[in-house]
Amino acid sequence: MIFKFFIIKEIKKFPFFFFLLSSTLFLGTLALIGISVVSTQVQEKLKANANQLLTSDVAISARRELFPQEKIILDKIFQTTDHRSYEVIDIYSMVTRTKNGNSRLVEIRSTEDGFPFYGAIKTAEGAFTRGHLFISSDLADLWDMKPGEELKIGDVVMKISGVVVEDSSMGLRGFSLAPRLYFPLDKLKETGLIRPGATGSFVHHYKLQTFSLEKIKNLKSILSKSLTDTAIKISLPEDSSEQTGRAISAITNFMSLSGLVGLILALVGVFYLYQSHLVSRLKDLCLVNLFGLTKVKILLGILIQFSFIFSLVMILEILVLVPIYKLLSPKISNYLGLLLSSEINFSQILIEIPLLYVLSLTILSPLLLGLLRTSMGAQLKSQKISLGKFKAYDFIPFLVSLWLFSSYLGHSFKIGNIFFFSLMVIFLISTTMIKCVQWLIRKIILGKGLLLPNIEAGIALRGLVRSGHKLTLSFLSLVIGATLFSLILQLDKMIVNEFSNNSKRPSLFLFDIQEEQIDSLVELAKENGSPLAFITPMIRARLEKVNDIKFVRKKKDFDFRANEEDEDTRFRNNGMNLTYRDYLTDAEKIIDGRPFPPGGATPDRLPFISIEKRWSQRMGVKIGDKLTFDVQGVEFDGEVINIKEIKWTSFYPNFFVTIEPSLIEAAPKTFLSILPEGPKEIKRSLQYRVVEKFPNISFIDVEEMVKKMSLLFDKSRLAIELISWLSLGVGLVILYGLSHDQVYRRSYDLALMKVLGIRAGQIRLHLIFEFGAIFFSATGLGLVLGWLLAQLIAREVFKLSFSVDWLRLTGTWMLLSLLCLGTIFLASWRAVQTKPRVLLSDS
Amino acid sequence: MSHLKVKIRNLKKSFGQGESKIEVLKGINLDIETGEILALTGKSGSGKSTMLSLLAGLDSVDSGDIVIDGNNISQMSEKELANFRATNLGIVFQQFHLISTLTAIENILLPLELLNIPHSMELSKSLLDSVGLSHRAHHLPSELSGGECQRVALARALAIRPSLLLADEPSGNLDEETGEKVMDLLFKMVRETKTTLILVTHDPDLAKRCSRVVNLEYGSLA
Amino acid sequence: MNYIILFLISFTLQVRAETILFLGDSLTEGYQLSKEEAYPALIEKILRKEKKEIKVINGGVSGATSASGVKRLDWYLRAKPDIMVLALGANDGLRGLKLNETEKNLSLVIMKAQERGMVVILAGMKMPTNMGETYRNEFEKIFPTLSKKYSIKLIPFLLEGVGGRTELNLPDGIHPNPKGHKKMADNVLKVLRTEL
Repeated sequence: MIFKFFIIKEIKKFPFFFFLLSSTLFLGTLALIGISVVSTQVQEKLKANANQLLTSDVAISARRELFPQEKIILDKIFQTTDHRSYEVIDIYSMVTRTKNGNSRLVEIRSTEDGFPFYGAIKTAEGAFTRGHLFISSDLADLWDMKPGEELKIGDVVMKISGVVVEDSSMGLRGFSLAPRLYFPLDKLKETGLIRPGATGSFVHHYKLQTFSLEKIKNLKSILSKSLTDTAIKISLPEDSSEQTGRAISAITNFMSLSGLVGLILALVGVFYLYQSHLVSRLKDLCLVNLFGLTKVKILLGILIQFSFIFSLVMILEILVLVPIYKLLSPKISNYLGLLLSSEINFSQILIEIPLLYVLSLTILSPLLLGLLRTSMGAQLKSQKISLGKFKAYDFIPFLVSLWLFSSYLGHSFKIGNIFFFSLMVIFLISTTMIKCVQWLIRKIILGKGLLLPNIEAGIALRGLVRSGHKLTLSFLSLVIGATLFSLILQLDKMIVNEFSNNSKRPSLFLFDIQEEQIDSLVELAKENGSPLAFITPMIRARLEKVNDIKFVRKKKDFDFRANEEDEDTRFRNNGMNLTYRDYLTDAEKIIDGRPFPPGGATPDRLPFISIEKRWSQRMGVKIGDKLTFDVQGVEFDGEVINIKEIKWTSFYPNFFVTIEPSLIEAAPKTFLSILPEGPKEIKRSLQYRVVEKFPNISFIDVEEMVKKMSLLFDKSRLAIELISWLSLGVGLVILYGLSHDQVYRRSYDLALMKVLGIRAGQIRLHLIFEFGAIFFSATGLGLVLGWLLAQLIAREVFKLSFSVDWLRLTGTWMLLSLLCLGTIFLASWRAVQTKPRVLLSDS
Repeated sequence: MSHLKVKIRNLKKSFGQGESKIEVLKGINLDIETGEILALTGKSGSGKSTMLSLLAGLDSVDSGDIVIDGNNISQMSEKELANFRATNLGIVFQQFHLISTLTAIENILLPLELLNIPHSMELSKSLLDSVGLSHRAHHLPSELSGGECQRVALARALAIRPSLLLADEPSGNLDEETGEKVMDLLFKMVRETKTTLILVTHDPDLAKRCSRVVNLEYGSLA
Repeated sequence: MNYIILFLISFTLQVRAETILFLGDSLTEGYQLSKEEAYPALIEKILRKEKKEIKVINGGVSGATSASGVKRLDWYLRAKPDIMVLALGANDGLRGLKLNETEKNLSLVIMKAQERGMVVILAGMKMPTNMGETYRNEFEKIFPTLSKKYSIKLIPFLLEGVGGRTELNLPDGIHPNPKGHKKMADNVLKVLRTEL
C-alpha cells in the first residue's frame, strides 16, 4: 500500500523529475553497457585471433631440431595431459621450376596433419589437404605458376596442388625475404634439406583437449624449467608479439573506462537530482512519518522507488540495445577487422546490471543516511526544513564500489587503481580550486556593495560562493567530463602525430643497391612504370665514443619494441646503420636544435649529425655531443646539431643517425629504395627486370603488412573519436539537467529580481555570469588535467614526448564553454520567464 | 496637503478564455490619499491578490486605469513598469521573499544600488538597524528565522522611500507572537516615514489597525 | 678536402706494422658482439702477444654481399693493407643470388687486391643443408675454384667446427658467439700464419 504511494503517486506527481532521473540513468549506463558488449566480443575474438596466430595453445620453438633428450622431456611433460600436437618446420631453400630450370629462394613451411589447430588456411581450389604441395599467391604471381606445375624441392619433385590465398597464421609478419610454399612435413626428410647443419625454425605445437588458462600457464613454467637451453623458446598465444591484439585490447579497455566516466557523471547527476527532490519532498515525508510510517520504511520506500526506475531503465536499455547492436555489429566488425557475432552475449550484461545497481545505490546512500539523521518531528515545527547532513565517510561505499568496478572494466587492478587515483586527484584539485576561488571571491565582496561593477556581476559573484554543494557538484562533473574529452583529443592527436598517413605507402623495399647501379636502376624503374620513391644510402658503423669517452651501453636499456633477444648481447653491440642526407623526409621533423646548414660540411668544423629522439634518449646523447664512429675501420667524428622526431609508421627506411653530406660519403655503402603502392603486375615486372639486370639487389615485400597496420591505426582513431563525442554528449545532457534544476529552484529569486526592477535580460546575464564562470573554469581545468594525463600516458605507455597544441586546447576550451553556456541558456529560458505573480500568496 | 496617491478607475481583470473566463475584478473605483494606511480585505478568491498584483504592476489590466502619483501604470510597457516599480514601489510578500544568495544587508542594498542611490551602504545599515537586525547583517536568509526574514523584507521595501508600499498578508506565515511584532514594526515605520500603505489581509483585527478598510467581494468593492 | 688529406695522413702514419684487412660480412663484423670479441680482433691480440707487429682492420659489414666488395676494398686501400682475408659470399648464398655473379664479384675483389700487391687469403664458405644440394655444391665450389685461379691460399671453411654447434652460436643458430669466434680465429690463423 505504502509502496504504491511511493511509486505510482510520486511518479504521477513529479513526472519531470522522474523523467530527468531516468534519462540520466539511461544515458550513463547505455554508453557503458554498449561498450562492454562490444569489448567483450572483441576480447574474445582477440584471444581467438592470438590462438590463430600461434595456431596452437603452446609452442616450443628453436632454430634447430630438438635433441632426442629434449624430445623425451617434452613427451614426458605432455604425457599427463590429453593433447594433440604437430611440428612445423620453416626453412629457406632454393627451389627449381622443372619447366624451365629457373630457381629462386623460397620459404618452405612444412606442416603435419592437424595444422593449424586454430585458424585456417584457405586455398583457391578448396581445402588445404595434407600431403600436398601448395604455393602462396605471391609465388604464384611472381613466377606466373598454376596448379599442376612441377617444382623441385631438394631431392623431391612435386606437382603444385593449389594456391594459398589466406593464411591466418601470417598476421602482421610481413617481412619475408621470400615467398612461401607449403609442404608436407613427412616428405621433408626425403628432400634432404634438413640434414644436420640445416638452419630454420623448428616448432612443436600443442593443443590441450580441455583448455584452461591455468593449465597452460603451468605448462609454460614447467617447460621453461625443463628445457633450459636459451635457444629454445616457449610461447603462448599471448606472447606473439602481435601489436594489433595489444593495441585493440588497449583501446577497448580505454573505451570501457570512458564509458565508466559517463556513468560517473550520470551518478553525480542522480545524486544531485535526488538530493534536490528529497529536500522538496521532505515536508511531506515528515508528515508521513508523523502518521506512523517509520523512517526505515520511508527509506525502503525510496529504495523501492529507485529500484523500480532502475529496472525500467535497464529493460528499456536492453530493448534498445539489441536491435541497435544487430544493426551496427557488421559495421563494427568491419572496423575492427574482427568478425563479431550480431547476437549480444547476455551473460555479460546480466553480470553488469547488478553491479551498476549496487553502484547506484552506493551513490544514494549518503542521502538516505542523511534522511535517517533528520529529526522529522522537529522539522515540522520549524519553518525551515532541511535534510540531515551527510558525512564524508558516507561516500566510502561508493568509492569502494567505484574502484572495484573500474578494476573489473579495466581487467586489472592496476588499471583500476590508475583510474581511481586519477579521479581522486581530479576531485582533490577541483575542490581545492573551488575553495581557493571562493576564498578569493569572498575577499572581493567583503563589505562591498553589489555593483561589481554592475548588478549582474555582483549577484553572480555571491551566487558562486553561496550556492553550497550544488555548485561543487556541477563543477566537479564538468571537470571530469572535460578531462576525459581533453584526454581523448590529445591521445587522438598523438596517434595522428605518431602514425602518419603517407600517401606514398611502400609496397616493396629494395636493398643492397650498389652506388654505380643507381642511375640505371632509377631509369629502369621509370621505364617500367614504377618509379622509385626514395633512395637513401646506408653505411655500417659502430658508435665508439661520445665526447671522446669510450661508449658503453647501459645494460638496463631495453627497447620495448624490439624482439626478445639475449639481453647480454644486446648491450655489447653498438653496430648500426648511418645515412647521409641534406634534406628531411616527410616523416621527419626537427624538434630541437637547428637544421643542417646548406652546402654540407666545411673544414673548419666537425661534420654535423642529426639524431632521432628516442635513440638519443636510449643512448644518452644530446645536442652538442661529439660522436665518434668506427666506420668500417676508419674513425669518423661529428657533432650533434639537432634531434628529430620520426614517424616510423611512414614505413620508410628511417635512420637513427643522419650525417650531413661530408667525408662520410666516401665510406663503403649500399643503397635502399622504395617502390610505392601500385598495380601488382607492375610490381612483379619490376622485380623480374631488376633481378635480371642487377642480380645482387633483393626485395622485401611489405605491401600486406603496411596495409594492415595503416588500417589498424585509422580504426583506432575512429573508435577514439566516437567515444569522445559520446562522452561529450552525455556530459552536456547531464549538465543541462543539473543547470535546469538549479535555475528552476531559483525561480522565486528570479521572480523577485523582476519585481525589484531587474530586467529579464539582466537576470539572464547574471545567470550566464554565474554559471559561465563555473563552466569556463571547470572546462579550463578539465582540459589542462586531461592534457596532463595524456602526456603521462604517452610518456609511460607509448614513450612519446610532450607536445602542446595550444591552438587546439584553447579552441576546445571555447567550444566546450560555449556549448555549456548553450545549455544554461536553454535551461534558464523558462525560469527567467517566471511571472512575478508567483510570489504572491494565492499562488 | 493631501493629494491622491492612487486613483483607480473602472479597473477590470479577467482570467481564462471563452467559456472558462472568470471576471475577477468587475470595475473597481478607488481613491487613496497620501499617507493612508489602507486595509484591503476579502475572502480568498475575492480578487484582492489580483488587485494587489495589478497595483504592483505585476500583471496587466484588462481595462481601466491605475494612476499612482500621476503616473498611469495601466498604460505602461513592461520596461516602463519595471522602472516604475524599482523607483516607486515597495512590496512585502507573505512568504518573505529574499534573494537567497544575498545576505540581509545585501538584500536591502539591492534596490538602492539598482537606482544608483548614493550612500547606499550607510542607508542600508541604518535601515537594518531600525528593524533591529544589525547583528544579523551578514547572514543569509536560510540562516534567519521567519520573522527576521520578514523584517529584512520590510527594510528592503522601505529602502527606496517608496511612494507606495504594498503588503500581501505579511504576517500570514508567521506565528502569532512574531507576526504581531512584525506588524508593529511595519505600522511604526510606515507612520514615521508617512508612506502610503495598502495592506492585503484577511485578518479583521489587523484591518482595524489601518486607517481605512476596503472590502472586496466577488470582484467588487463592497 | 684538407680534412680528407689530414685524415689520410694521420691514418697512414699510424701504419708501420703489417696490416691485415678482413673484408667480410656479419661473421667478420661480429654481429651482436663487441669489436673486441670478433675474430679479427682476437687474431690481432694473439699475434701481438707473439710480439708480432700487426694491425688489423675489421672490414666486416653485416648483411654485405660480394657485390659491395670492390668498392669497400677501395675504401681500405688508403690504409695500405698488406694482407686481405676475403670472407664474403655467405649473404649471397642465403639470399639465393645468382652464383656466377658471386664468383664474378669475388674475382674482381681478388684481382684488385692483387694489383695493389696485397696477399689475398680466401675464406671458404658453405651453405646450410636446407638451401638444397645443387645450390650448395655450386656455392661451395666457388672458393676452391677462385683459390686455384688466382693462386691464393684458401681457408677451407671459415665456420669449420662452429656451424651447427649450439654452444658456439647465438640463439639464432646462425651467428657465432664469442666462443665460436675463438674457433673461427683458429681456423683463420692456421692459414694466415703461413703468409706472415
